[in-house]
Amino acid sequence: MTEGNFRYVLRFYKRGNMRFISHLDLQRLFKRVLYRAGIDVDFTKGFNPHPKINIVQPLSLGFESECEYFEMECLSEQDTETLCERLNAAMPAGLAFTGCRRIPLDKKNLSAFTFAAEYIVDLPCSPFETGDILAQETVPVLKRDKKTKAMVEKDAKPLIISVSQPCATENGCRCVMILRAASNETLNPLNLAEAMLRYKGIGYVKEDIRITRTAIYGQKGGGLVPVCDIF
Amino acid sequence: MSSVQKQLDRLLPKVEKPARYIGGELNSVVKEAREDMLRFAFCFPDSYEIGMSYVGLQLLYYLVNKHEDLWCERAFAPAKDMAREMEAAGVPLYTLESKTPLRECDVIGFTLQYELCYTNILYMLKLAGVPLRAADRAEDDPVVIAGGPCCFNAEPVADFFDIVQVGDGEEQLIEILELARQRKLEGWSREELLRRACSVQGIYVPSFYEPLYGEDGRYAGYKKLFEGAPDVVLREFLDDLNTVDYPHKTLVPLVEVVHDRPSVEIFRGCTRGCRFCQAGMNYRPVRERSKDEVVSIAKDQLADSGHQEVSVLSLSTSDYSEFEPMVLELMDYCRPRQIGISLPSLRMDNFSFRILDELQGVRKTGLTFAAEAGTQRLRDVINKNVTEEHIMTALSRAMEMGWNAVKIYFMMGLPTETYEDLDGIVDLASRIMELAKEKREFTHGRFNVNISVSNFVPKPDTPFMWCAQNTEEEFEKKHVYLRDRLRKIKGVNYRYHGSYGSHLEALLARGGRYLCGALLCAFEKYGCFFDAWTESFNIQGWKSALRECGIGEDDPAYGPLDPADPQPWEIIDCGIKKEFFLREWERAQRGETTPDCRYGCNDCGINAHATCRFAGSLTAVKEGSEAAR
Repeated sequence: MTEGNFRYVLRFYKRGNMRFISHLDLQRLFKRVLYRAGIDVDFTKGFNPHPKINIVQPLSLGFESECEYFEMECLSEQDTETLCERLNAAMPAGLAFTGCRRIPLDKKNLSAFTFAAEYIVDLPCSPFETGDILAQETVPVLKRDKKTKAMVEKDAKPLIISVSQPCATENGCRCVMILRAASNETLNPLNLAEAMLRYKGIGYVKEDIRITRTAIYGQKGGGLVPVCDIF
Repeated sequence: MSSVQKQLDRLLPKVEKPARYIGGELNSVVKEAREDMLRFAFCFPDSYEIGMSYVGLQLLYYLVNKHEDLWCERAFAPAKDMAREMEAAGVPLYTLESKTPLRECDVIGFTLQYELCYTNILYMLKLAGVPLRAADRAEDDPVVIAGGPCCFNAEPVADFFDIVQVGDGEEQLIEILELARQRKLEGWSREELLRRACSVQGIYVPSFYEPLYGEDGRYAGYKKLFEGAPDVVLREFLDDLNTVDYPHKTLVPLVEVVHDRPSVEIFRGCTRGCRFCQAGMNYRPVRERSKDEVVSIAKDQLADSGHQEVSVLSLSTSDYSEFEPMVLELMDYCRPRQIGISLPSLRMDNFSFRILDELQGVRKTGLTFAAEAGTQRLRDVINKNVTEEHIMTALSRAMEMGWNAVKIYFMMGLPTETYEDLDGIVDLASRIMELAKEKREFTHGRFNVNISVSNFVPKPDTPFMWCAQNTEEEFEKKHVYLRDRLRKIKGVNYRYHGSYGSHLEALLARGGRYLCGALLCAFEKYGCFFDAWTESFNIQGWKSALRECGIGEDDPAYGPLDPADPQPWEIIDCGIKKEFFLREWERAQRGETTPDCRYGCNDCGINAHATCRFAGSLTAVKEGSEAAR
C-alpha cells in the first residue's frame, strides 16, 4: 500500500470455456489487459517488482463464476464509469468486468477479509433430501492432501454455512451452497457434492457436476456482505 | 453449440492444462460458416505451447482470414492425456475456433518445422479420422497439404500429403486455397485439383512422381506419372516482404506458451553462408522488411496484446541494414513503458553491448554465443565467421559489465572434425574461466560457462549435404571425452543432446520415400509420437520399426553420398546451383572460407530466380566495418 494511490475493486464473470483458464493464467491475462488499456498500476518495490493486483479468491479450475473480484492499486484516479468498458475491449469472450468501485487503501488486500462463498451446484441426479446428511455429527469429505497427494478424510461440518434443498432442473437437480472460503478454512463445493452423493448411494460421473460461484462474502456486523462492501 | 463442444464440457475437466483445447484467444477469428467458403485447418504437429510460439502461424492465419471466402482455423497435437480422453469419448480432432472436426474441413495444412515432428502428423491425422496415406483418401476427405522448411525434402512424408508447398508461403498458400475453393464450387475431382495445383510455382504433388531404385536398391531418380507436372519443382519466391501485409494484431494465447510475446520478422534469408545451415540457404535471398514497418508492427502488436516484451526475428539480427536506428526507435517506445526487447542472433559488437546493457538494466540474463566449433580450423571449414579473439573480447566486456554466465553453443561431428577440435572446446572453456579470474573485481569470483553441444545433422541443400554423419557410437565416445575433460574445470557446465534423436533426424532429413512405411510402422505398431520430447521419445520403438522395415545403419541417408548420384530431394529445386554447393564443399575440405555475400556475389545462383538486393552491398565500406568488428 502506498499513500496517495487509488485502489479499485472490480467484479467480473468467468463463463463457458473460460472456466478452464487457471488462476495463474488469469493473472497474466489481467496484466496484459491493464497494460493494453494504459492503466498505471503501481508496482511493488524491490528486486523483482510486480504490479499491485490481486484476484481476491482463487476459483477452482473448471468452475464458472458470475461473481469474482479483482483489486488493483493505481498511481492515478480512474474514471469508474468507463473503466470496465476500457478493460473489456481486450478480454476474450466469456470473461468480462461488470462493475467497479474505488475502495479505501488498506494494508490488507480483500483476500484477507474473505469469509465465505456461494455456489450453484448442478448435480446429475433427481432431487434428494439433504437434511439427514447435514444433521450428522460430522460430514466427512474426501480431499486430496496437497503434500502427500493421497485422498484423506476431513470433517466438512464446521465449514458448511448452508446447503439448500435441491430442486429439479432439466438435467438433474440444483442446490445452493454457502461454504467457508478463507485462506485457511475452505471447503470446495465439489468435495461436498461428492460426499452428499456418496452418502445417498447415488452413482455419478464427476465431470457431470457443474459448479458456478455466485458470491464471495466477508463478515460485517455479524452478517455476510459481498466482500467488496467490507469497508 | 456444436456437438464437440458438448462433449468437451465433460472431457476437459479431466485433462491437464485444458485451456490449450478451448480456443477463444484474443484475435482468434470466428466466421459464419458458409457452403461456398473454403474451410482450412492450420495444423502444427506439436503441442499448443510450441505451435502458438511460431510466428509463421500468426502470419498465415492473418493472411488467410483476410479473405472473406477463406476461413483459417487451428489445431495442435493434443497431449497424450487429452488424446486418450478424446478417443475414449469418440471426439475427433477439431479446430479450436469452431470446434469443427478436422475431417469436415476442406483442406488440412501441416507446417513441417523439424523432422522429429513427423510422427505427430500421423498422430493428428489419426485423431482426426482422416486416412493417413493420400492414396487412401476418398473424394470427400480433406486435401492434406504441407509447408515449411522440411518441404525441401518432403520425400520421407510424401505418401501422407496430397500437395506440398515449397518456399515462401504467403501468396502461394492463398493461391492453393483459392484453387481448392474453386474445386468445391465447380465440383472438380481430387485429381483435377492436383493437376491444376502442380502448375503453381513451388507446388509439389508427390503422387505425380514415382521414385526409382536401381538393382542395388540405391535411389536412381524418379519418373513422372503425370505429363503436366513439372520435371523439377522450383521453390516459390516472395520478391519483397513489404508487399505482403504482416499482422499488426496477434493471437494472444490464454495459457503461457514458449515464446509468450509478439514477434516481428525483420528479414528473411542470410548472407553469411555458414555451410551447415539449411535455413541460410533455403531462405535466400535476403529480403528486409522496412524499418518503419518493423517499428509500426511492433508498436501495434504491443499496444493491442498488452505484452511486456517483443522479439525481432531473423537469422542474423545485426545484419539488418538499419539495425541501429531500428533498435533505437524501438527502445524509445519500449523503455518508458518498461517493455523488454528480445534480440536473438545478435553479433556481440560495441553497439550490441550498449543496447543489451540498457535493455537488461540491473538483472543480467544469459549471454549466448554460437561458436559452433572448437578450433579456428574447423570454424573455417564450416565458414562460421567467428574468431576466438572475438569471443574473448566480447566476454571480457561482458564480465566488466556484470554478466556472470555465458552459454556457448557447439556442434559435434562436423565434417573433418578430430579430437583436437574437441580439445579446442575444452581450451576455450578454460581460457574463459581464467579470464573470469583476471576480471575478479567485476565477477566477484562467480562466473559460469555453459557449454551446450548438439550433434551435427547433415541437411539437404547445404554444402554438407553429401557428408557422413557420425555414428551413434562416435557421438557417444566424443561426449564422454568432452564430459571427462570439461568436468575438471570449475565453473563449467556441459550439456549435450541425445545421439539417437540426431541419428534419426539425419535419416528423416536426407532419406527418401521408402521412409513413409517406417514412419507408419513406428507410429502404428510401436506408438511413436512426440519424438522431439525426451520424455516420450520411444527409441526402442523406433529401432524396432526401422529393423522391421529393413532400414539399417548402412542406409544412404547417413552418408557419405556421392555428389554424382541422384538424391531424393533433387526433385525440388531450392534455387541454388549444385555447382555452388560443390564448390563450397570443396573449399570446406580445404579449410577455405567464403566471405559474406554482402562483400561480393558468391554466385550461388539464387539471383536467377529472385532479386538479390544485398550482394556486394558492403563492398564500398568493407575496410571500415571489418576493422570495427
